[in-house]
Amino acid sequence: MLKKIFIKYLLLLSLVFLATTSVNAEELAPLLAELQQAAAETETLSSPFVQEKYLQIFSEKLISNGQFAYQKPDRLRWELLTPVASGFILRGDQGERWNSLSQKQEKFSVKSDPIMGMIAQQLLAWARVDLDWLQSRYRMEVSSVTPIVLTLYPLDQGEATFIDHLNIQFSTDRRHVSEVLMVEQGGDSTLLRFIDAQVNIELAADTFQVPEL
Amino acid sequence: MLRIISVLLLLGLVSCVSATPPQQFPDNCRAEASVAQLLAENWLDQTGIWRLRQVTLLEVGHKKIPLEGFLRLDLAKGEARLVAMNEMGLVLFDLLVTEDDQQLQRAIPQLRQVKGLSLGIAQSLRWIFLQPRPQTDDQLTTRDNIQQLRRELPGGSLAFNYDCRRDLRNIRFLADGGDWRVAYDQYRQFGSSRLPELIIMNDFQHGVKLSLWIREVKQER
Repeated sequence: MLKKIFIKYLLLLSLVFLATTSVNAEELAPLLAELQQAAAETETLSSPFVQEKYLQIFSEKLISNGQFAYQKPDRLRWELLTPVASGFILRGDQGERWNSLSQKQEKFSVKSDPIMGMIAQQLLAWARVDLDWLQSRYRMEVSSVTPIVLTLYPLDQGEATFIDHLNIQFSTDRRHVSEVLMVEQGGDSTLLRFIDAQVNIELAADTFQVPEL
Repeated sequence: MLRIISVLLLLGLVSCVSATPPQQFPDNCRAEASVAQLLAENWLDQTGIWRLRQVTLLEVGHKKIPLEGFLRLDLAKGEARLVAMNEMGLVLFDLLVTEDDQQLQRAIPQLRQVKGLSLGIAQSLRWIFLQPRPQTDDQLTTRDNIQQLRRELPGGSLAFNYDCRRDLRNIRFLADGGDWRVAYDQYRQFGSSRLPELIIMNDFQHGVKLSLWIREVKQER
């Protein structure tokens, strides 16, 4: 009797798994096309964000606040306001970062600083929904349709040594990313929540300039 | 520490670190605590477990490296565990430091290749939070608003300087094997203890300065 129940349970589980996989595969292409179409209409983005860092070994959540801006095709501003004023500007594959502690500004390129490069390219890819770039770097799955949540697994071995996966959630109007969850190997994670994002507003002229320190 | 400094020397980063401003001691009271009181009232000489969120600036020559960190400090065990992150929250390294050892729990590949990294950071953390500590047989001297507990060592001495509020304000080590100072400033009350919100460590021998601003404090129960 128990054996029969177990076999039935296994069959049911397999069917659920197959159904889910099939839905993912079928839904991914039109969803991505829809996201790309919506993103193509985005000229600028501006949003405050909250960064929640979860440290598993300490069961501790660290909260930071900041401001994000993007301008088509490849300009970014990522600025932390707390706990320490710092951030970077990206123009194409060239960047400049600053930190109020060091009172220093320093230039970097995506090639010369692989960590900053990876972070900057990711932010840019999320902002402009660059699915070609994301698909070249990650295996993608649909975790949810409403709201759209994509789960990304790194293909690069180096990146996979410290990033387990990313969850990218889109806004209800599908025009921009509303949340990013980066789960590291070992269980730590970083959740970025973009709050009150404004699409296609006119950005201040100095948005992509490094601030005076 | 020597090895990481050597690497930086080879990279041409040698120069003086930024100057450390002189400490201001309160002068509206007289220092008159006993050795036992100085030891009993200082947070580092108690047995609590603290969780400290901090921002840090490491200076080696002209090179300035800002980091965000989270430190769990178990004073009963004499153990500190530091997780350092970049501005995106990505963990750069996770280091466990005891009074006489250190273990790098994890680090990004680029940092894993830096020889002497864990040794250098562990030594700084040890001086700031764990070792050496004042002892009951240290010699106490009092001068107006400052008190000092002092111990003679081969080639020099070790001194713990307190202000008239009984806060530990600096540790000065100048003897065989080292020339360093840790300054503790901007004390604030957290629960039943007073903790400094700014700590500056100078390793004069190797030209290294570590400034640490404590931004959040929690005590484990």
